[in-house]
This record gives sequence, structure tokens and C-alpha cells, in this order.
Amino acid sequence: MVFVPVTAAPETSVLEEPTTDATTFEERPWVVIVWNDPINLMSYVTFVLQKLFGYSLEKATKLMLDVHQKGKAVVSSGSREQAELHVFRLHEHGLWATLEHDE
Amino acid sequence: MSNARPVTRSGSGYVLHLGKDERALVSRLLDELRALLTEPADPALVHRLFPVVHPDHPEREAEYQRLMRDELVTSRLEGIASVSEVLERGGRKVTLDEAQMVAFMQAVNGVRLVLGTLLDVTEDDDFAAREDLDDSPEYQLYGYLSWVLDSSVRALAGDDNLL
Repeated sequence: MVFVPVTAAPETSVLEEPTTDATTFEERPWVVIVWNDPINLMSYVTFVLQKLFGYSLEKATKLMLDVHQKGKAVVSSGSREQAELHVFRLHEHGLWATLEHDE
Repeated sequence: MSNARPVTRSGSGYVLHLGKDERALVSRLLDELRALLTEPADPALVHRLFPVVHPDHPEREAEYQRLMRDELVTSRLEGIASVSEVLERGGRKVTLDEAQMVAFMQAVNGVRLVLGTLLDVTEDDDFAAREDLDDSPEYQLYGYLSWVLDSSVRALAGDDNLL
């Protein structure tokens, strides 16, 4: 635990926390990936990323170019619920988006 | 296609500069898209409308699709309905509010996803490179819709907010 709340329990209980460096399965973020495709216009992809995630033009353009040139880009990450909502919104706009979660 | 820009911003709304024939064409395409969403369709043709979310996990994929596929269809159908309503209103000047404009953009792109799949377009395609498709009405249509979509995006984003 890096974060100790102000209202932390007495010191003795801190020792009970397991000290593995790997976060638990649930804590690890779900990653939303947009894949390159030959149909969606570059202007459209850039605009959708701005609209859905509130990204600046610069950030959205960089992500779009990553998608276009590298084949894919991570556009957001978070809890499973958040990530599934993001992927759904991307699909509403016709982008090719998938979810990944390290195990 | 006389207007240089098929879609423009006007105050807080948007204007479609589409002739009667063009509006009829878009309406017909939206009818076809609606049919693809509501009736049994060739999975190879509509796979871009329903992307796989968990390509490496069949169980998660089944669960996701069970929960979300209908919702995606409903969302698309609502968008198509709102656009169809606007187009059927007719008149020489079709005006849309922002939600209708977004629905129009999504619906036009939905048709492009199907047409692009049908034509098997590739990244390097341009009109000169695909002589095999030059005479194809579907390819002409695809190019037309790309032009309309790009104009929609520019109207929504504003000229200062696009590269």
C-alpha cells in the first residue's frame, strides 16, 4: 500500500497487509484498444476520440495516428465497468474497439 | 452535389445541403441499414456493426454480447429513426440540432461500414487505384458518403478544431 489514509488504523494492523508488488486481478485496469481499419476516416476517428473522452485535438490526433500507423492504440483504461462503457460508446460510433485485461 | 459543403453549421444548429434526390438516397440507405440491424443478415456483411470485444475470451465475449448487443441495436435504430424523421420533413433546407447531427454522422458511418465491408476496401484505396471498382455504383456511393461524413465531422468539430 502506497496510500495510507489519514484515519489509518493503529500501526500494528499495517503489518497485516500483504506486501506483494502485484496488484490484484480486480485492481488491474481494463484497457480499451482501438484498431486500425480501412473504412473509418481519420478526421472522424479524431473527432470521436475528442467527443467521447474529452481529449484535446493534439491528444486525439496523436492517438488516431498511432492507430493508423502502428495498427492500434490504447485510448482509455479503468475499471471493467468503465472500460465496457467506453467500448460500447466507441461501437456506437462504428470504431473497431476491443478490451484487454492482463492476467 | 452542387454545394461545396454538404453540411454546415448555422447558429446553434446544422444545415444539410442535400437535394431532394440525395435526401431520398440517404433515406433509402438508412432503410437498408435498419433492415440489416433488425432482420437476419449475413454475418460477414454486418460484422463491423457488431465488433468483437473480447477476441481471446469466448466466455467474456458471450457475456458481453448477451448484455450489450441489443442495446447497441437499439441505440443504432434510435439514431436512424431520428435522422429519417428529419429527412422526411422535407423542404429545401433541412436543419438539425446537435443530437440529430451526431445521429446523422453515426448513421452515415454505419452505412459506410457495410458498404466498405461489401467492397472490401483497403487502406491504400483511392479512386485511381481501384479501377476494378470505378464503375461500381456501390463504390461511387461509398465515396459520396465519405464526402458527406467528412463534412459532418467538420461542421460538428468546427474548422478550428480539425487538422
